[in-house]
Amino acid sequence: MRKKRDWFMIGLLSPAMIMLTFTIVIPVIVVVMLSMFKYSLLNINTIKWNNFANYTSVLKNSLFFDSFLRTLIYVGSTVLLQFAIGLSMALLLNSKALNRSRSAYRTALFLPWTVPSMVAAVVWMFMYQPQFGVVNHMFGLKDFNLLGSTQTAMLSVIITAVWKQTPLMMIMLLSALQTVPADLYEAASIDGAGSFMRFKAITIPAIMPVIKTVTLSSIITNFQMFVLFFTMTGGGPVRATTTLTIYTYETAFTGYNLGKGSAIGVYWLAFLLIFSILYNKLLSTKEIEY
Amino acid sequence: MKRRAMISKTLTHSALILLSLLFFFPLYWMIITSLKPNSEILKLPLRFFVTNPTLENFTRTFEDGLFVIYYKNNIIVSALTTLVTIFLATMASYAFSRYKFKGSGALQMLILSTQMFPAVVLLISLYTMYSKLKLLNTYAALILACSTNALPMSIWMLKSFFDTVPSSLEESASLDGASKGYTLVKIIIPLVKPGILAVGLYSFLLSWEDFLWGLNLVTKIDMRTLASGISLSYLGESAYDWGKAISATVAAALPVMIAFIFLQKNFIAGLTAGAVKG
Repeated sequence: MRKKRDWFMIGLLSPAMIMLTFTIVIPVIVVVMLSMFKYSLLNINTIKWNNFANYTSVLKNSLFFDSFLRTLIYVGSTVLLQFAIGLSMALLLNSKALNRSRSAYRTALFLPWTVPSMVAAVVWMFMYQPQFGVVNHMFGLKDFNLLGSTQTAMLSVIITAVWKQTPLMMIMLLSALQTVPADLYEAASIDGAGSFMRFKAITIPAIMPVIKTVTLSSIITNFQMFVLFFTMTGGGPVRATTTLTIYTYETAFTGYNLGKGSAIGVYWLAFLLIFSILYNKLLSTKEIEY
Repeated sequence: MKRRAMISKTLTHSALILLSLLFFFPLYWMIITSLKPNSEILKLPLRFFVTNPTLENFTRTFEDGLFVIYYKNNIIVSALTTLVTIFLATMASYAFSRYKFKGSGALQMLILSTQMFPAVVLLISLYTMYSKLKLLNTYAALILACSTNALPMSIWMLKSFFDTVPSSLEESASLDGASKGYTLVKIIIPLVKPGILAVGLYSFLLSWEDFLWGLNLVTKIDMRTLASGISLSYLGESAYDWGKAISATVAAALPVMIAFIFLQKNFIAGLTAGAVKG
């Protein structure tokens, strides 16, 4: 018996599919196409085939590799810091020593996440302000410009990102910790496992799927972080914080070269594709079922 | 043993108090700065308490008229994005939850993986497409772009809510002669209200926070939204008017912070739904 086409299901799915086709599928195709042409924002109606000149010109310039590397540094340190701090917070909040105070701590720790990134950027810029900033004041930095120095600009943005995003990581890991059955810990204790052993052998494997999800989604978010860099440093000083996003944006919009910007985008998409395949392979072996 | 428990309790509390202070301080600093008279904002020694709070900064921010426009635009875009996302995500996630068709899993993965696509890369083609379609400087442009950001996760989150509703409900409704559409709207959707609320909060937050689209898909000043408006109006010059900038950010952040404090449970349940299966 062949099943009739289910029009109800098609009707349910098509609005979402049509929108995503228009806003993602077609744009991706358009980017790939644009990347092969000479195409300028100043002259949006003429478009000329240029024999992959965009691709070669991206690779000729060390700027692409440098900004790629800076992106990796930014993403790597932000995600690691977030994970370490977020997990510590989650473990502390999950501790049996807390009763009624738990939700008060949770609220205070979670609030930074509810603030829009633009707000986080402005608040931290104000705190990093050279003459009157509270950070300079507390650490005795006199009028050192944290965001204006090549040595500290990246770190200063990372701190802002960690402040804003860690709460989400914390709340995800906390709810994962709360699903770990307590009898697993009891059984392990009876078998003589110490607290570090229990953490390593029970907690981590049990929350591994969530660790995977939250770190991957943080990597994805931060890989394309725009607002913090654009607002706080604009990619400077002297390119110290020019990440791939800022470089792409600059090339396409400030430099009016949409074709070259698209070529950077295509390299980027190719990298993401390879990365996500590897990431899944790498972490999929470490899960357990209980 | 009791001594050890005491020590661990004290340590846990002190660590949490320290962390809470660290994480809460920037917000505290932002709020008290917005309440200081403008002459006191940049003044040494720094004052960690407000002695004579004033709303002067807020009046200045609201008086120039632009901020009210940004705020209004942001509310319109966020509200409509939320509605569009809820509408599309509910239908799609219900279909994914109930119909097992070939390629369904692959399609869901594909939708979720669109999250990875760098927005700045999509912007290049969206900008080109929208300018051809005369969509630049419209609410529709922003709503479409923001809903696209929110939709993949929303479908994923809501599907996990629909999955918990037993399909025997539809079977018995169908025996009673109810149509599929009627069953979905009148019986199934009321059961996933917490999921819909979660998706609503998520998509609202995401569009409330938008900067990239608001900066590029609209160019007219009276179409700007909060983040791009704040950036272009208050952070433009080298000497910032911090009183204005900080009070504008407080006004932008406050609704969400207050909403979070009151809806904390729903917020957290919604955020963690999908990622954490209890």
